Amino acid sequence: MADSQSNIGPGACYAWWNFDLPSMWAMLESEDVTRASEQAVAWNSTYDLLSGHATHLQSLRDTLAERWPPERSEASAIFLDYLDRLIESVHPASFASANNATALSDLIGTLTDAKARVRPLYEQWQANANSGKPDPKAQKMLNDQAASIMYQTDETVYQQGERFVVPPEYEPTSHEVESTTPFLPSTAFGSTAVGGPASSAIPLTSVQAPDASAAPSPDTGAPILSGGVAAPPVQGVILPELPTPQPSSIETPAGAGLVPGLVIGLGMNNALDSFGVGGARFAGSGMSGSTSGLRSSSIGVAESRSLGTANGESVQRSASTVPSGGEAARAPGGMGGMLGGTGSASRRRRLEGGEAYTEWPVAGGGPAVLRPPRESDDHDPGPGVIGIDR
Amino acid sequence: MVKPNDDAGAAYPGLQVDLNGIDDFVAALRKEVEENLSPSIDRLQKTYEMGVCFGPASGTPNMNAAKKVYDECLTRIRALLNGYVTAGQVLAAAAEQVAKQYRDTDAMAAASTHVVSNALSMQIQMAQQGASAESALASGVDQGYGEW
Repeated sequence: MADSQSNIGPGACYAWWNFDLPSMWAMLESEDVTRASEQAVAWNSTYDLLSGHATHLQSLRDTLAERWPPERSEASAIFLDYLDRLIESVHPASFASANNATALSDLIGTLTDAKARVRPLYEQWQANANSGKPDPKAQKMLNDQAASIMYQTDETVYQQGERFVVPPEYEPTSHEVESTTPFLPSTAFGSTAVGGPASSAIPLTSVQAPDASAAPSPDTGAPILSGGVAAPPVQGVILPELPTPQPSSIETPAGAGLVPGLVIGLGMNNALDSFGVGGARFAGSGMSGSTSGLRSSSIGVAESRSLGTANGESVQRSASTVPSGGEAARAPGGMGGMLGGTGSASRRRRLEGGEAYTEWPVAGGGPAVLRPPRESDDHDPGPGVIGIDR
Repeated sequence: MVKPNDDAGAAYPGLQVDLNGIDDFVAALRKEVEENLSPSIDRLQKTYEMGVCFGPASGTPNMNAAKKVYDECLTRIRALLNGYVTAGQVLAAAAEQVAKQYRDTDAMAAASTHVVSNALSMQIQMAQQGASAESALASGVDQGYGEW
């Protein structure tokens, strides 16, 4: 009989029929229902405490948000984000506590019930054993009854054990300032009012190359701005390799000239800014107060805002604006000149404080048909002027 | 209090903050943590410290599996409860620090996201150091969280 009952619980096996009744009773006798009940009550109290705490935190959060609006202050947004993550952690912990209170109570009930059912069997077994003339047949019958109870109990314990829920972990971490936030004057003012450490994060994933299948076939030799030609299509975004500066000017009979393919009026870093990555970086990096920083920011604003508002269009524009080698590399020259503003290249070089014109090495080409930037539907008149009510 | 008038607030919304609002938040959060959360958690921790409270003499695989999961529950809830107290203290201290910077320094500087990030980081670090010191000493010496 013992052999036929060897598999008794899901994922486990235990042969209760190999035990005698005193051994089974010893397992149940030591169950401390009082202590276990205290913990069940504690789990319930934890649920009450945490659910109340979460409600209180939410109330405090809402009140704070009214008086320190996150939509008007990035500082507030970061603070409230930390608070939100705390609240989000408290909720599942309180639910897990309620669940564990019930599971533990049920498990205690199961063990208490088994104890109550085995106790009389054990007493009979003891009486028989101490009678001076033990009856092995009666003892075996009692053993079998107890084993059956233990079998059911063990299986139930397994099922109830599966109902325990380990509360999710909470690891408070400081919020890193994200630099991928689209530039908005209302928020950027607060975040860039003073110089802060420059962030190196560049939202590379925010720009995708256009569909290569839509690009016209290369090698037609038509001028870029005529809308006819694109370099071979590429996957992903191509960015210039910054660490390898190259000569930006060449000597010509008429004097110094710009190497073909470079952007007139833009240094490398500013060029990056103008292509949309710098605008977002600026939003989180702080304004250094230098002329260069200011000019970069003004360039970056337009591009990053376009990324944030007209995604489809800006994707195409950004990808096509990034030089992609070959003839396509010349394309940004015209556009970059427009973005980079006016002024002589030499004057800009002086302001930049160094040689910044570099021919961009690229891995491949992409559709480089230039289109005029899409005009924004929204008109932002800029900050208000004192005395003029907008 | 840094609360510009409406015109200026519209032009420079990053500066618009009601410092009394932050002060009220700090006071209410401290009250919640110190008068409600912390005492209750102290009581609960004593109960949870007893450990797994069933199946002490049972060594069946099924019972062992249940005990193992329940032990994880106890370990996690104890850490969480302590963590919530710490998190509340961190938030209150960080908010207080931000409000102080708004008052003491250039309001534009205080509006920076870095001020809040740094305040939170600093308070978390202090909390972790305090917890480590308490753990290392394990002698009941009040390392606390200092000025919280």
